[in-house]
Amino acid sequence: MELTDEVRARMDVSDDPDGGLVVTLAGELDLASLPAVASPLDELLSRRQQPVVLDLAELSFLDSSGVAVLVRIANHFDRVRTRSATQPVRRVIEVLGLAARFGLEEH
Amino acid sequence: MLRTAPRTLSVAVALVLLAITVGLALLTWQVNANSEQSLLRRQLAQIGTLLESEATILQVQLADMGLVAVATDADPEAFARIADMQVDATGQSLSLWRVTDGAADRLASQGTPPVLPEDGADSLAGLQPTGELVILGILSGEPDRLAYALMPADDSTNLLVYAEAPLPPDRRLTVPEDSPLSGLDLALYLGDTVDPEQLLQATENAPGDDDSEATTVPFGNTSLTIVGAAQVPLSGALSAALPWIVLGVGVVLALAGGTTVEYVSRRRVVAERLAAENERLYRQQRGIAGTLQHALLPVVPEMSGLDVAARYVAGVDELEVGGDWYDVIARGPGCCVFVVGDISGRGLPAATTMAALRFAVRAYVAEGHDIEVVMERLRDLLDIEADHQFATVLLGELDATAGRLRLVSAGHFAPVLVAGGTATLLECPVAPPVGVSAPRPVPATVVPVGGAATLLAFTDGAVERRQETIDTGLERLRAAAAATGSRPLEAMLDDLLAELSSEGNKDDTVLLGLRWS
Repeated sequence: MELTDEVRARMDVSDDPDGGLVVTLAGELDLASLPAVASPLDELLSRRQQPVVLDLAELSFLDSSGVAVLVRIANHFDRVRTRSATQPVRRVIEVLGLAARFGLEEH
Repeated sequence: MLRTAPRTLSVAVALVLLAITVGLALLTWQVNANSEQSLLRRQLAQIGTLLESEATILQVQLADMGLVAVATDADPEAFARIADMQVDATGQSLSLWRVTDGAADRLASQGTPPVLPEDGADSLAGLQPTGELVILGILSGEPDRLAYALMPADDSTNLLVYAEAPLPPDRRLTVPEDSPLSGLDLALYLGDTVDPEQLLQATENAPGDDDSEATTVPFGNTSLTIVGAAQVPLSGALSAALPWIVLGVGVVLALAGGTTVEYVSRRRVVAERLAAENERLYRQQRGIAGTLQHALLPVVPEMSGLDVAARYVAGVDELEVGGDWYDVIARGPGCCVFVVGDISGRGLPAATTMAALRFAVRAYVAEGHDIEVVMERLRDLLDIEADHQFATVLLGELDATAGRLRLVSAGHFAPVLVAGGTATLLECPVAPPVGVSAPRPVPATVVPVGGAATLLAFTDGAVERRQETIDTGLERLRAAAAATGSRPLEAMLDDLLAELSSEGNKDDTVLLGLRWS
């Protein structure tokens, strides 16, 4: 594992002014950078059910392991909306048939 | 440490160092010998100067007596007075002669009676009034003597002073201990050659032929040859020992150098062996991963009316098995069910999940289930919450004879259809991957595929690149498929892999080709 893995991917959780949570994912989320988001993910998945917005504006790369993270968030919170996804990330979600599951906003 | 014969390199290094050492020792010896020789020559030259001045002294002495004799008109008493002082100090024989008409007459004599040369007084008659010291030779006697004479210059009185100087017993030359010349073996010869007959004096040990130097200096009307050799090194013991010191130190260094090279090269051999062992283990492990992967993947069946070929290429991290798979299940002439899938993640968990799904598909198909049903059943086998994995799966049912293709996708790319020189990325609704809950079953998409065509199913390794959108990769694959569509199926897949391979592709790649006519 590379030393830079710790900073390659980042997950931030904040309160949405409209209620619920905003989960911001940034960087490159893949198998190698997964450990960087493991602890905020555990913390996030321990929260009560509420609406969640996934902000993927700063996420540049997403592989199947990264998708698994999004799936677990979507599974836990049920009502999930995804906004500001970059084109590569958007297309990964779409070809996986997960656009509806992640509430991916229309382009 | 291994106990083996020394390596050629070590021996070579030792030999080279030894050769250098011998060379240096020889050089040192040469330089030393040269400096010995030049030192010796310089000392002999000093002796030469000393003897030259000795000759001058003798000349002045005789000339003085000659002048007195001329001035006193050969008065014997005057001669005796002046000669007496000399004789007391030197033990000489001094005599005054007058040469007339080729015969010499003795006028006075002081000291030991003169022995005279063999032809007696006649030998004196031939002298000329030059004022020059004339050496008449060595005379035998008790003791042996050196005879010499002088006629005062520009003189018409024909007076001649004759002298005989005793040579030391055995002509032994004794050099005082404190003299700078004390370390030399010396021999003095009358004349300009080394003639034993003409030996004047020599030290106890006469200089041998080896290492001796000679010099010749003028001595009266003749010359003296001085031969010398050093008893001990003139430049000191250290300088004489230097070649041996160089040789000794050099031999030690050569052995040390050889030993060091030997040690280092043996250590390197050990290190190389360790590296080779690591390399072997790496290959073995990679071999295990590859073997496992290929063992889990099927051999494509021989089918009538349908060409089938498949390729699996491991990603850059070949140590870990991947989760890509393919399978083709025959269902009669020109008919088959095929599957291409990809488990998220890598390693043994992905590989075992892959194997489970592959055999599950086979089992459900063997039970006669439709691909829609098979897909729904697969969803019961995997749950991302429990297994931390999901799978993208493409199930297809091909009836080439009827020209009908049915597809159902769970998060997987639809295949590319190559027909009549064009390639099309087929469209098919995509349900969420297996392992992710899906709201409702997605019905299979029916694609008419009449006429000869090639169907190409693939996994994301064939199209995903980190720096680009997936559509770019899909388009690249589509274009490559169109370009290679006319090649034999096996060759087409190889060409596609070559075309699509990229540096550092981390993902596994599966290509499955089905061709019918």
